[in-house]
Amino acid sequence: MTDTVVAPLSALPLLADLPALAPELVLLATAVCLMLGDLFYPRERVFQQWLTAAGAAVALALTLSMNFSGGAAAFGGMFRADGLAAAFKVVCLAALGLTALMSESFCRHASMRQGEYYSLMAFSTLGMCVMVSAGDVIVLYLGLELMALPIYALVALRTADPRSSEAAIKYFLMGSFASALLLFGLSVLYGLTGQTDIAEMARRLAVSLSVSEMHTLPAAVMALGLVLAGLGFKVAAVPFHVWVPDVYEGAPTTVTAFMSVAAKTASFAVLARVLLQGLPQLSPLWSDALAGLAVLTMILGNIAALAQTSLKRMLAYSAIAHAGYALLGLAACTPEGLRATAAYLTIYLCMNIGAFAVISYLSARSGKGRMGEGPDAGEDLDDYRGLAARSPLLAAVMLVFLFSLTGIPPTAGFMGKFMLFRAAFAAGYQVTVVVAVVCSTISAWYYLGVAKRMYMQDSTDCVPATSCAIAGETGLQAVLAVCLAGAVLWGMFPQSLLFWINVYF
Amino acid sequence: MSVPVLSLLIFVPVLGGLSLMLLPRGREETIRLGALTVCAVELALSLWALSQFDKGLWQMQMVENRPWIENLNIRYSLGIDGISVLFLPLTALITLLGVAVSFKSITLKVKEFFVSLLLLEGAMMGVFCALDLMLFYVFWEAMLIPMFLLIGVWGGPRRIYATVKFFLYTLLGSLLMLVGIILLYLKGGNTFDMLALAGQNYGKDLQLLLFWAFFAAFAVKVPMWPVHTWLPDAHTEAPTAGSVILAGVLIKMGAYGFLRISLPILPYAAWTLLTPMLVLSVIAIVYGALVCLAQTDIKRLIAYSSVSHMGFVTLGLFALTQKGVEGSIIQMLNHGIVTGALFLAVGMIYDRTHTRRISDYGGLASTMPVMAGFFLVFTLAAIGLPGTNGFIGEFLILLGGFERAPWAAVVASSGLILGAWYMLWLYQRVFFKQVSDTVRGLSGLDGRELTILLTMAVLVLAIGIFPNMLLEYTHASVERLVSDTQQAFAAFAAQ
Repeated sequence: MTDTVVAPLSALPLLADLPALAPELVLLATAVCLMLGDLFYPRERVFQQWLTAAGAAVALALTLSMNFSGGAAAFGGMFRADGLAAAFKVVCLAALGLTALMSESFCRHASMRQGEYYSLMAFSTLGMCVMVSAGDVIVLYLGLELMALPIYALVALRTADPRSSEAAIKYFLMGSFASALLLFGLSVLYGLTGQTDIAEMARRLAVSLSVSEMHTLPAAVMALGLVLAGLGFKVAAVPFHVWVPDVYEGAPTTVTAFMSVAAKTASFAVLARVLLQGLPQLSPLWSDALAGLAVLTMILGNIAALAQTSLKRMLAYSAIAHAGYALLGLAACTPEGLRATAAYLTIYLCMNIGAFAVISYLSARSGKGRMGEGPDAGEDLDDYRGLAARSPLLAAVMLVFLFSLTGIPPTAGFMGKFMLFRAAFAAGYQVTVVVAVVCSTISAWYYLGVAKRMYMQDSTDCVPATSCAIAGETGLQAVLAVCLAGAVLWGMFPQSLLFWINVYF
Repeated sequence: MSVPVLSLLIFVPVLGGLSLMLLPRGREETIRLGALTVCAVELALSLWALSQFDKGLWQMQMVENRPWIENLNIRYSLGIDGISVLFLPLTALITLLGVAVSFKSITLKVKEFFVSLLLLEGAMMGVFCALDLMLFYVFWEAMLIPMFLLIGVWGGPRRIYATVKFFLYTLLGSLLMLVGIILLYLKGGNTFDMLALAGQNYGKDLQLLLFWAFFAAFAVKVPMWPVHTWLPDAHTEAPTAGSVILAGVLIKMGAYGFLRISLPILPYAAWTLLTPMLVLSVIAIVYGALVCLAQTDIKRLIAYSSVSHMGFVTLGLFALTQKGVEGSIIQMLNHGIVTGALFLAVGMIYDRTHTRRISDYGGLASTMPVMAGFFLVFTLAAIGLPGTNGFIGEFLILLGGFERAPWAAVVASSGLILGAWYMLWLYQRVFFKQVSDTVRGLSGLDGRELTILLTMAVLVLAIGIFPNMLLEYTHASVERLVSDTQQAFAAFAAQ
């Protein structure tokens, strides 16, 4: 009889790798607690937003405290808790925390079910964290779907408003289609290399390209095209953007804020990982392709935004335009470019969530549109007429976000754009940068349009917004303060942000 | 370590403005006096800087140099030389007067108004002190935000159109400059330091490309013909303080940019493109003056006269001779004072009549005789009569112009004649002729207004009679700039 040696529990490879998953585990626990909390204490609603924010904060702290020196491949390379992942994960987690804090008042206003709301959001963020850290295409796809499915539901959560359901159906159909394209692209890559590990894929691809370029290249290019289309959909790049305006407009405002920042950031991270680590051999090709996409995205996003009468729709087109700017950093295909994209998305987090927080503040403060009979207050551009006279502080805060989105120093938006332009310029995309510059000028027109209404025009209807305190106002104010601090301080002292991103990669 | 005067100059108004922002609404008198105090402190500081300035040196003085954004090699570096030093007191003075003149005319959103003015002042000081291109750019763009609000919130009937036009014109120009800055950074050894970038050997084509990139920003700001069209709208619709600052300081920044960046860093391009630049300047002079003759609005007329006068400034600049460049610096200062004074005077009249149409006026001299006297002084200075400050700048510019390109100087001289025509004609239509209904029974100047106008009039005459007071500051630095540019071009030409 032979002795079977029982390995101690800690020696199991799975358990040893668990610390790499710490932020994800915290998120998972948060999401489960939220579900259970809703089950057992359905009346304690305020508690949920703080629980979500706390979970996000803990996960954020854990992400920040990790050590990224070794690339940290866990689970046999399936999961990579490396610097690239951490930098983008932080943005997603911060977006979760901030959105949770600003949701209470809006959910009350829109009579949305809050138990599902917060747990869906936490699950979606969990998916983002997983896909950002994926070292393997299977994990990547898993994360992507875990991110997307809760968002489809979140978009539809405002049952009283038909626009919400319409947006959800559109998003679901288009999103599934894009996922399928991505999956198809990934399976072609698998067919070419026989691997699902992203880094291994690159090695095999290099070998087969060197052996017979004739046979491998067309398939590889096709795979690249499919991956770009699938992820281009997620980051809202033109021509895969058509869903964005309708979905952003129809979704509840807080959900729009969440998806416009978090989902986009996570998708950018995946795009960076697949392209930089999975397809480095094709980099001249995808560099140019991304630059082309960026040009289209910036031009169309900015020009279409000019014609909007709804602020949410305008911000949707502006989100497209900003995706174009952020693509410049990836197109540069340099560490500097990647850093610029990460920094830009971090800054975008502050200014965009801030702008949406102002919208949801106005919506919650006025009862308009409560039962879905029309747009909420704060959605139409004309709701901003005379805002500076009615609530000067809110208008001033919004003004900062608008200038930051335009990219006027000394706000953070300028520093972000500057770094992107510099990286793209250094990589040889001079003409692209000039296009970006012209597009920035175009964008000034519509952002200034809001500033103009707030400060220079009087309100058409003489109904002043009710200034009584609303439930969950503290959270909203906290969000506005954090976003404002980010949009101003990172503009004046970008060193702190850059230093921090440089630690990662 | 010595006192960081330049940082103080930048941050005293900024911090002053931010602390005014914390005051509650309704404490309007406190806000007004607070703004005035900050501006007075600022003026004292700038005069102190002027007194500490060593006129014999051409180098940068009072230099401050600290890292700002290390990863991008952007530094917080400040310094002034003979080209920039005089603009500091000018900026402080013009802003002070802008604040003083707005005491009564601004009644709406008082706090925001004065905060915007102070923030604008800080940014303007920054532009004149910055020695790092990115720092320069940040201040340059930061001026846009308060100016956008000043015109758009407190301006005249077409203010929104005017302010958006102003913003978009300037922004597009500035962003092209940003592209130029990035290109310069990549080609000039990964630095944004203006002084380090100046001595380098860029290729000819690169210089030309860069010149046009910077030209986009500076020409819009000056404004040179044909990108001047934002100016009449902005100047006309802005509140008095806004017009005064626009005319007095803001449009000088374009010419200052040419002097600080284009000439020293891109000497070959500046010399090569000399003729086109002179042509544009001359067109601006004559065109601006002719358009003035057709104006029916007082502020618009003065605005167009700025186009003409700034044409002289760029003419002197691109004459690239000692006299021309010095003349253009002096002309910038004097134009700031004279046009500022004219806008102030018109603002005071407008506060009483609420009309800017020339045809509504007539016989103002009989109801406001003191104002008529002051206005005459400023009118004569704008024409460039010897003994007033307007003379010395234009004279030096024409001398410089004759040395470099006589044809340009000859055509430009016609601008002087046209200038006398439109200004005197304006004076005649407003102050003489029959007393119109609008001006009947107007009150005279009060003590505050009298002080403001008196300050300006004293400056006009003092500089007119003792121009050396200013010239001795600029001399060393301009000499150096011109000779450096010349040598660099000669080296290129020899290649």
